[in-house]
Amino acid sequence: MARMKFLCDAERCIECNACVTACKNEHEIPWGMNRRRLITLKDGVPGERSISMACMHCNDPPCAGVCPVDCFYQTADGVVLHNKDLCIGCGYCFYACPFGAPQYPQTTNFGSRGKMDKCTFCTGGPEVDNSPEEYQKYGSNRLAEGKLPLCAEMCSTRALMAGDGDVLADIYQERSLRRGYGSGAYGWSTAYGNADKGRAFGPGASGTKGS
Amino acid sequence: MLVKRSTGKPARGSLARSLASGLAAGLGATVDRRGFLKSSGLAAGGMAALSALPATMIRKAEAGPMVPNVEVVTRKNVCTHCSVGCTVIAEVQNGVWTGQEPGWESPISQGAHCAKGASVRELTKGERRLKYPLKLVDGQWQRISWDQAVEEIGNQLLDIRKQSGPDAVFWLGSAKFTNEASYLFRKLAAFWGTNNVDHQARICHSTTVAGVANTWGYGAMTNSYNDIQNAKALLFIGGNPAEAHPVSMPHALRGKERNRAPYIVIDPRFTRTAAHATEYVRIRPGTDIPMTWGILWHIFENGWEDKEFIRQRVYGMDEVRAEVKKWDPATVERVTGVPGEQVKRVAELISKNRPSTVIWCMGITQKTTGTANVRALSILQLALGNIGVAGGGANIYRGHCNVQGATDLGLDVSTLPSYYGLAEGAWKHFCRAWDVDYDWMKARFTSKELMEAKGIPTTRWFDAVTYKPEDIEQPSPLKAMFVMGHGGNTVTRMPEMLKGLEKLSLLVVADPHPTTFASFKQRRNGTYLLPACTSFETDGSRTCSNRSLQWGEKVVEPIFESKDDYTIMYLMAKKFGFADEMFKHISVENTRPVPEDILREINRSCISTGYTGQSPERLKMHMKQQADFDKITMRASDGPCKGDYYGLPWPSWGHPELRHPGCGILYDTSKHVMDGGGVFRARFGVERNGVSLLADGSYSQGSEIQDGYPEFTMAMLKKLGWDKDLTPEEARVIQAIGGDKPDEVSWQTDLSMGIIRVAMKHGCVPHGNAKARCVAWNLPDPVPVHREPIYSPRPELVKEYPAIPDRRDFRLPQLARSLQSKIAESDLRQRFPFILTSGRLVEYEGGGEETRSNPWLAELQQTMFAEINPKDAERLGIRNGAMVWVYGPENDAKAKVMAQVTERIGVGTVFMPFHFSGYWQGESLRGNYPPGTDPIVLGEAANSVTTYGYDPVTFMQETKVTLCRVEPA
Amino acid sequence: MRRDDTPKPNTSKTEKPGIERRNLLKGLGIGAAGVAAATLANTTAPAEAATESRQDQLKSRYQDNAHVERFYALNRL
Repeated sequence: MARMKFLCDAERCIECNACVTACKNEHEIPWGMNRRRLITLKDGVPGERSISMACMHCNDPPCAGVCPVDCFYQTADGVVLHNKDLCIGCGYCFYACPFGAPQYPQTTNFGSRGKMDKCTFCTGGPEVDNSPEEYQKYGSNRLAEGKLPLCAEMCSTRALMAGDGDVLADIYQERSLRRGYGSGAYGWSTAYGNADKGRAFGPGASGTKGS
Repeated sequence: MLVKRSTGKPARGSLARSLASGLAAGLGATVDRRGFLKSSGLAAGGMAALSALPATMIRKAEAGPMVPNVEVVTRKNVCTHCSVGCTVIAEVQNGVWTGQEPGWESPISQGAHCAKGASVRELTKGERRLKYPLKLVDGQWQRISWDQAVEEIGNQLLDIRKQSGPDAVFWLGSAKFTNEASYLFRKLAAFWGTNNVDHQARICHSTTVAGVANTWGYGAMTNSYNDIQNAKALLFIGGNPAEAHPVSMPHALRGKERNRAPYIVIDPRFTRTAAHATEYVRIRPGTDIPMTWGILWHIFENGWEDKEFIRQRVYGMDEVRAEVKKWDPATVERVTGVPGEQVKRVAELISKNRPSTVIWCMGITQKTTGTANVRALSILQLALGNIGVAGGGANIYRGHCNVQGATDLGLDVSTLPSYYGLAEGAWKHFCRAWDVDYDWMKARFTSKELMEAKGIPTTRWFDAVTYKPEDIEQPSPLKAMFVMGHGGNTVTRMPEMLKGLEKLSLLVVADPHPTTFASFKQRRNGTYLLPACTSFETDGSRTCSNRSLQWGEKVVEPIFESKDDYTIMYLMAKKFGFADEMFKHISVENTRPVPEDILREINRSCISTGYTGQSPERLKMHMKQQADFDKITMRASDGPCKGDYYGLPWPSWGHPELRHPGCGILYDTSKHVMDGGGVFRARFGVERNGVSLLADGSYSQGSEIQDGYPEFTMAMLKKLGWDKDLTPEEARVIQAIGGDKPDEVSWQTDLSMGIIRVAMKHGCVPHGNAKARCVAWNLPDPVPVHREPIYSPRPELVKEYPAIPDRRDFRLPQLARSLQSKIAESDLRQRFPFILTSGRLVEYEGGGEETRSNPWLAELQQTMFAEINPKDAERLGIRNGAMVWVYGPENDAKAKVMAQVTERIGVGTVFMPFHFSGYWQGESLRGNYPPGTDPIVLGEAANSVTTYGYDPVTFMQETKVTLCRVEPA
Repeated sequence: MRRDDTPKPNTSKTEKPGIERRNLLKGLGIGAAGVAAATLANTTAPAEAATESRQDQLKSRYQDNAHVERFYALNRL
């Protein structure tokens, strides 16, 4: 069974925000709510990298673990969804989530923050697939239409990928092998730090191996 | 309600803070622009949003886009933002655009979009669009009907024409027009009787067009976005495509990855494009020529140049060598601030990894030395033999979605469509093509002299309003301005622009949005706003940067009371009384001219750039058959378009029936001319000072003339004995055009296109086969030389590298050297210690009115800001996120913006994005917009503090280097 | 930036204060139908949505079709 995953290739991401507005467009997300957003590390200095973040549809989602009303459920595709009719807007899931995915439409000192909203991997919610009711509460259900999340489908540089995790892993591996050089190689900076840009094997250097 | 209001504030603090701190915790100490804006957003827009949003995410059924069980019609158009030309797939239900899908078949974009492209559906929802015609009466906006608007505007314009002459009206067109609308607007200005007609290319790539056309013949990107995947090295200079042209980036990044190509970025700012660089070079703004000559110094020193290419195809390289000799590593470092070792490394990387491509944008063009900058980079590519080869090229990314097409179709003060110029021969050519009498046309103008004189460019229109009449070389200063699709914050020196705006007796703005022009209360009467629709609400073709034409299909009918550009122009022409002449061969349905017919007229007349093979039928077929085209070569391998390059990138020579495939890569001698091959254009004569300008032993594949040759004329055909190949009909047309001098009919003026057909039959390129020019003797600097900016941050260098002498052009005086030396000798540098430069954000486009009105985009960039280096900020006591005043050195200019403290910008430099307007010197102008049309996000315009300075060739404005002072607000 | 000048898209009716508590009740499984109506009271949406069975909610929706394969292929370029 295919396991749905997002994978953002930081070597490709240019922080153009297409994923963010594609999401807004597809689901008519109102102002102030962001199911997806860009995170940039080392902004403005060499080594700057960005990735696009949303709900990562964890295997063992901590949001579901802490929800007092048990409104979360996970589909056979591994997509983490929730039931807004059950949600009480307590905000626990926000604190549990390592990615800051849950969004709330309102804030009060006490009580509800409104119905939590988050990325559905374009898979709607508990209402009948692609019914107007489902759209009202959760946005469109592209997976049921045989498509993938629009953020990934529209990504400008094919940085953000969505789909069968095994396929995405293969694609990413192919890319890593192809890049094969210095800072492009997986784990290079972890092993050698940022100071060594891998110039000996760097782009354009003679004697590079591989294709 | 009470509960809501009273709980709003503290709650906002708590959740907002926890959200923000949650993010910040993950980020450590780094402050990124997005995070910075996010927190500022929470203080501004986010705050409003949190208190004002619907309490749940649950929406009304009818608000949702897709309605089940209603037929979905799919329409294909092209994104209306940048020049990449991403395909937009629109799903329409009941005439409403309800869904947007990726256009994966597009050879260019392959389904990709940036933030702007992924949000274009909002344009046809258009909550903040202009909804009906408006008229300003004593400072109040009044709704009027279209009939009344056309009647009143027409009468006033005709009055002005009668009293002050046709040149008193300035026609400002748009790079967002379709090709058909661009051509029509130029034609409208011609019929009105003026050359005062311009558009955004003036302030975008006019210097590129002038620079490259003067080097090798045509003013356009030589290769394509896709072809960058073939490059073995990439050099970006003065461009930030990761924000300005995001969908060009997959091609560049694939090139980097697949070829392990060095990816070099030369820029004063560490841009998001630089974030992916293998080599980043921080350069002092305004020193592009020293940098380029510095690179070339190493190339010549080490003999890395392509000597055979230079011998066969380049004229005047020795004069360049003499100039380059002056730029040894020490001098380069002294002027540019770039270490000599790094310059050498860059030179080596691009020389040893060939073909290498050079990519540039506004950082090169928007300079007082713009044309010279462009020429220097062109010469660099010639020296390396990188022109006319896959993976090489001068890849010039144009700005707007159709700025290339609008330029090609003559929306310009210095030429008729297709770069024919303004001389008598050009007018006669178009009078024949338009089927109007030349003398009638001449009578439309005040004089033959003005008919053939360059008009007033958009960078200086306000000078032509406010200057003393004797300083303006036309009978009257400008009295009226008719603007279509052009922002009001796009020109430098805005305080002076405002004075011009105030003095105009009539201002007409036809645009989907009211634009900055409508936001100033200086005008209280005589302003009309006409709602024009976007290109998603009409059909027509647009030309991407790579010269491909794409036909956009109407997605929905024009919303509200808006009308398309064709209709608006027709209504005006009809009111002026020349519609019958102007639309003689263009059918008009009700009041809407048929765009296909306009394109056919372009096909018949725009011969010199090869806008002739792209018939509406062929273009529509290409859009339909996108899947057949290769994703790198852009050539169809199968299907009805087999052999064609996608979008028939011009030149596509001859009649559409000839089925010329277009030219994927310009000047490529490895292909036959009928296969998209080419050579440098013979545009500048055949000889200079006894030296031949024609190519030496180089020719396109299959050419029967195996050497250089001049452009084709009837006389040349006869000399070659090829005139026999003309059909009787072609010969008849040539005879009719030539009259008693048929030999003088050239390939450009031969409306039968027989000369072209015959030349190509013999494997020859109709425009001749010449050398590219390193020395352009017709330009102020025949060989590019470094000149310090007018507001030089290094006054001590001004004597050594002075600006050009003061001069006159484009009907106006131009100050340069006198102003520069006055500034250098004053204490200005002490009072304005920062260099100010400007640039682009990915979420917004151009003046930004349209994109700042789109909530999906506006939410991502809510505050105008200025980037300042942490060292400078610390010295001045400026915190990240604090408000600062940025002062400009002219007109007591100042702008209040938020400080973004970041190492992205170097010490001593300040960067501001140019998309904002709607604030003026700290005051909001929101109340001045017609109700309901104010953009969601407003901010100070960068151009409110930019200064004087123009390129001598095109009057391009200097936006990239001036001085400023920053103080905490 | 002045407060009154901040962007105000999509202003709409605010929720009545009583609703949160009822939501809480609903979360505890009390009076589901009545509360649903209250939740939707301000949004004029249809009163009750057609909900999938638990089994249907959890079913797989991903399809390895030509569209999806096309997407993967583009990512391999």
